[in-house]
Amino acid sequence: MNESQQRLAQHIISGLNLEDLTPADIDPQAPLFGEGLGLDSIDALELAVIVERQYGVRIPNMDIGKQAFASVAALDTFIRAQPPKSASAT
Amino acid sequence: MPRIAGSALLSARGNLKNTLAALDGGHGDPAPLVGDLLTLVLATAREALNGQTPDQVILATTKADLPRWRADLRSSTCLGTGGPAWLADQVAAHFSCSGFAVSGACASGPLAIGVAARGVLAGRWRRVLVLGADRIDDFITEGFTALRALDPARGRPFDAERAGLRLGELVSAVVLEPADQGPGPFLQGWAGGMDANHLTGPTRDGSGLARTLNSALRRAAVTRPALVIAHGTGTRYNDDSESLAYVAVCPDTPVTAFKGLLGHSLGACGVAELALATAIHARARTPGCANLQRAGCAGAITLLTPGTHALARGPLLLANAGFGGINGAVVLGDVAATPRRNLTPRRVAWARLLAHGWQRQRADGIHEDAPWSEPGDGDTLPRLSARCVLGRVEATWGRMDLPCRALVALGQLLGPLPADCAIVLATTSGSASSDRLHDQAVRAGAVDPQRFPYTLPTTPIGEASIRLAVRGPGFSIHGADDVLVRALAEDLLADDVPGVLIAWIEADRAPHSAYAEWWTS
Repeated sequence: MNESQQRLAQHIISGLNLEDLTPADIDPQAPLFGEGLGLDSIDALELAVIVERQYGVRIPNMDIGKQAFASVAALDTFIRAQPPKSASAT
Repeated sequence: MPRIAGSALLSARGNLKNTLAALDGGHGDPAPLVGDLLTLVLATAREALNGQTPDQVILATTKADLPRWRADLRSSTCLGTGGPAWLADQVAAHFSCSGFAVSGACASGPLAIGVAARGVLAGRWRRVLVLGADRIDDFITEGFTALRALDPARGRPFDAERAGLRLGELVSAVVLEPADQGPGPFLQGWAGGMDANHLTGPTRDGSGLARTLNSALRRAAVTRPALVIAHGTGTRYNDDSESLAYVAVCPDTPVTAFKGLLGHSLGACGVAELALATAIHARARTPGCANLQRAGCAGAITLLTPGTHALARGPLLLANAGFGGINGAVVLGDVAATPRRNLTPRRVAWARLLAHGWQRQRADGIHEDAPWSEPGDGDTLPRLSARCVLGRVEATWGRMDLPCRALVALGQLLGPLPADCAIVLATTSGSASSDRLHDQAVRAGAVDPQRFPYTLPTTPIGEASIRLAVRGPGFSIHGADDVLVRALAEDLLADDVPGVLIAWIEADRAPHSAYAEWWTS
């Protein structure tokens, strides 16, 4: 996992309240939803909020969310492909 | 079967008659009710009772007088003012009888009606006043906005263009009496059941709701209802799933839905829809699906177009579904039959969660005590991590609040539970801790979609249903004493439910308590 993926994984863990998990427990290539980490559609909505709050990237609808949220690696790529808006990024 | 001795409804359109006339018009939008909720509820109750006195009040609700409950959550005393138990008690005090609330998310109505019907059948009550009431404020609207569940344009259940629900307030009352007290219509059937699938979404194929519908129709000895009054929220998933359930259960029955015009009144909707059904049954004409323009849902059902339709003689099937995968259905008809089954209920096991560990009396009589690996502090429960309860780490465990964790832990200790068993949760504080956090977030303008579903007192039941694969009826009870809670569980056993997990959980302010019993007959 590279540094930006690691930072994203940490945002996901704290934002989604993934108790007792560390970034090292998340395979950046593994699916976040269903098989894989096992998140569901409620978490997907929360993840959209996390991405907006942390990176200033808005997910307009969950069809886009579904692709962007495929894995930590996919989401990291998606975020970095977006033009920065009023990013409150850390 | 109990007879329906009276019914009343209050919407922004006026009373039951005016509301039905608005629905006959076919198109319109919901609006909030003006005035103090308790005052509105009492006025509606008096109208339904028509001078008679009830011996029991049962309130169907999710959050009751929510603005008052929120103010109470922020106070230092936190007495539960405004909550389900409080509102039920206020109404009961007015009629000098006892009262409690039944909650099952947006299926609270049919579940409360079922509790009332079983109690009448058991001979416990002679005249039950069943009420539906829920106040809707920004706590609710911001929550559903965060879940992206509101249609920005208009409520239009089962329409091809539907994009979510619209909220609206309704207050309603239905009076149930033993069948021998007068003429019908009768509450011919009732049932509850859970999907055990997803916390906020229904089963895609409608199979969860279909089981509950079949169960209600079986009790009513009805194979083909004359009309379905659907839950019909207007969300993509609900209406697709619901339509598939009707295709599976009663493919030839016409379907109507009222939430387009009346709005979704949450825990209040089921009682309101039964009050409307009583009037529709009496006049043998029904309004069609409000605001429907072009039908478009997964199941090929016969949707009645906006306007008034003649109704074939026969029973009416009403359904509701809510968060937690909680479903409920009732059947209204002309037949009074089926006595209550006699049985001998037994408490076969119990479990208790404590700050330092758990205790359990198993069905085989063996008593066990075990310490938590991460004990709580004094008189508060530990955080009950997935590792501690399930012995493994789970991604969706962390978002659960303490009442959810406690109920899953109690079910785990008393399990494995039969798939068709019921879960009954008695609580006064309910989801107060999550409510307080959501209330703060709403006022700060930073709502977390993940938290909102946990602001229902019945979400622990849904989580337990999903995690323990339990598909029987599920509801919470607020403001009933222990003896009555056990009697209501006994009524479920008389309804052929194979077992009931009764839990008592208070996990907001210290001291916490979490105790459960496993009953079978």
